[in-house]
Amino acid sequence: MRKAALFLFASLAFAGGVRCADEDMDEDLMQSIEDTNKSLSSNLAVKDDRGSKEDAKELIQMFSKVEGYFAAKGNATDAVDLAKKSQQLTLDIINSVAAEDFDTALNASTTLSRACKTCHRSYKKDKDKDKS
Amino acid sequence: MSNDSRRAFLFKSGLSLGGAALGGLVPGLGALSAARAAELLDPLAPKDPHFPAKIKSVIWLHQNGAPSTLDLFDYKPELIKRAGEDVPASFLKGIKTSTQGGVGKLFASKRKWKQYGDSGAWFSDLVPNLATHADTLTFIKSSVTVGATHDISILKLNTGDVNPGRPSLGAWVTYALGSANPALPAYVVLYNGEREPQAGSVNWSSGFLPAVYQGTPFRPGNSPILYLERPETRSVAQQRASLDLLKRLNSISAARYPGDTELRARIQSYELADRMQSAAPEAVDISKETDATKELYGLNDKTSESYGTVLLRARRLVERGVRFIQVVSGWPEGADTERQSWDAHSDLEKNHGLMTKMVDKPIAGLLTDLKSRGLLESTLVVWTSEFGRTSYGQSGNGRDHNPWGYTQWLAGGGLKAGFTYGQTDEIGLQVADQDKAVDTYDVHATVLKLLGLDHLKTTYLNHGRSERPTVVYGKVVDEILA
Repeated sequence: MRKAALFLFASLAFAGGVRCADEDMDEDLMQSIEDTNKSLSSNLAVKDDRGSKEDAKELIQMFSKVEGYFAAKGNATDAVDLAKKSQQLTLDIINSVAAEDFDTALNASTTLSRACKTCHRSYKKDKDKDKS
Repeated sequence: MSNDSRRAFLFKSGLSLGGAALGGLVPGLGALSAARAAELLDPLAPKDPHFPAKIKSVIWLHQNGAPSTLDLFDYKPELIKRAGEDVPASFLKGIKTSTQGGVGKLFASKRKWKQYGDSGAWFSDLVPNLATHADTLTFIKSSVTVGATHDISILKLNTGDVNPGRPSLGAWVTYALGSANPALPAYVVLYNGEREPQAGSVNWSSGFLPAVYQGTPFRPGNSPILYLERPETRSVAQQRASLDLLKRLNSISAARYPGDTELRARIQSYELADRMQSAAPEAVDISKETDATKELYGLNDKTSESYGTVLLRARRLVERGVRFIQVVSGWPEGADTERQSWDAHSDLEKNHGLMTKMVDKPIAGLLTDLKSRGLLESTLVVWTSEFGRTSYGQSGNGRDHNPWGYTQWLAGGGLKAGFTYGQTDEIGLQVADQDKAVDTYDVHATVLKLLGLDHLKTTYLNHGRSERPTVVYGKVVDEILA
């Protein structure tokens, strides 16, 4: 009986741990996107060609993960679309930087930030609802 | 060497150094532009905008506590029709409510609505004087923000972010344009009521910008700045000599620690204080204003007197070249009111009846006065608040906070007057079209554009990162610009 209880406790703890790790990963990813987006804005403002491209490439990878996450989650077509749009916008930024057109790149970065905000409007709140 | 000749020597040396710096010839400073060199000597030196400005000054009318613009400017017949019903689920889609006591029934106040002017803009009977300016105002009826506590949303309203530490819009303007009047602060905060606005000085802070760009609060009354007056026992000459010595000592430290912006701000503020001793009391002295002008601002009425006085002072500051005047609404002197702001969670009728009586005539008077003096073309007046209020009721006769759709308006140079941008849904709860949502940093970007500044190019390097007023956001609402 005692062994069974211990096994049950260990199983629950393990399951809880995985769940927490899963949620933490999402939070970390979102935080990384926010930080990298801020860094990108700064690098575009100071016309740092290399820094801008590095940030943009990282963002594309992270938006790809976001797309995958929402595609797997299901019932989130708009979030998948916004993640795709964000990747395209970031690609546009890379192209503008390559053409040394930092004004266009900076404008595109504000559109990118708005896309993030649009997604948060629907999906950040879902998470809050889960918590309550 | 006598004191006089020593001072003359220092003065001439200073001039030579200044001249050299202006020419970009100071060793170690490299080939600086004259403007940059002038900025180093005086961080408040006037600076050129990015493109020709439409306006010179901003009067930022923060309606503290968040008025229900649904009961002032945003006429919703459907809300009146459905009053007393539950909020249909379709209207709540996409928003998270956290109203204490739960979402109430749809609530309509006892308003009478009428269209005014050629624009046909709707106004309620609570703002009859503002209504006469229908064709002067430019409405943004699709305002959104982050819904939080008042203090956090007020911070976002003024700094563009919900976290403390960022400069307020006024500080960015002062940083980017400098001062147009060396005898007055370029950025002044006014308020009526018995104490400073409760959300605090973080709302006129310079954040990570040098401290010299922060706002200066002017208290109500004849002595606008604490401890500004020279003590009677001290002569002008004694004060000047003390200040000269202090400046010399501080300058030695400043040279040793060139990155100490607090010290640079302190040197600047002593000199500014000296000049302000005569300029500031004169700027806010309304005793020489005519009775007609005082009446225009509602000074003949106890309820509107304190706010009217503040707005009359705002006009006088605009005349004297102050760039940014942030006016925070308080409450009428001696008013018997539990909530000393627009925050009508209950008894909206009584609260808004009092608050509109406090602001309606003074703001209308300000617009009339600015127009008659030819100042409205070069001034921007902004009616703004941390959020709006819900179309559903709270406590039976009040309304809760609404960050999802509310009205703000602007008036002045460079705008399409008598124009409305965006709208809320049929019951006034959310913006109807998210693509037309205007967030706080979009308003900031628009205000900056009118001042001749590109928000994307108004930057400051903070710990290696380029920061701007609109954080990573900001979209100019070009549709409202003339």
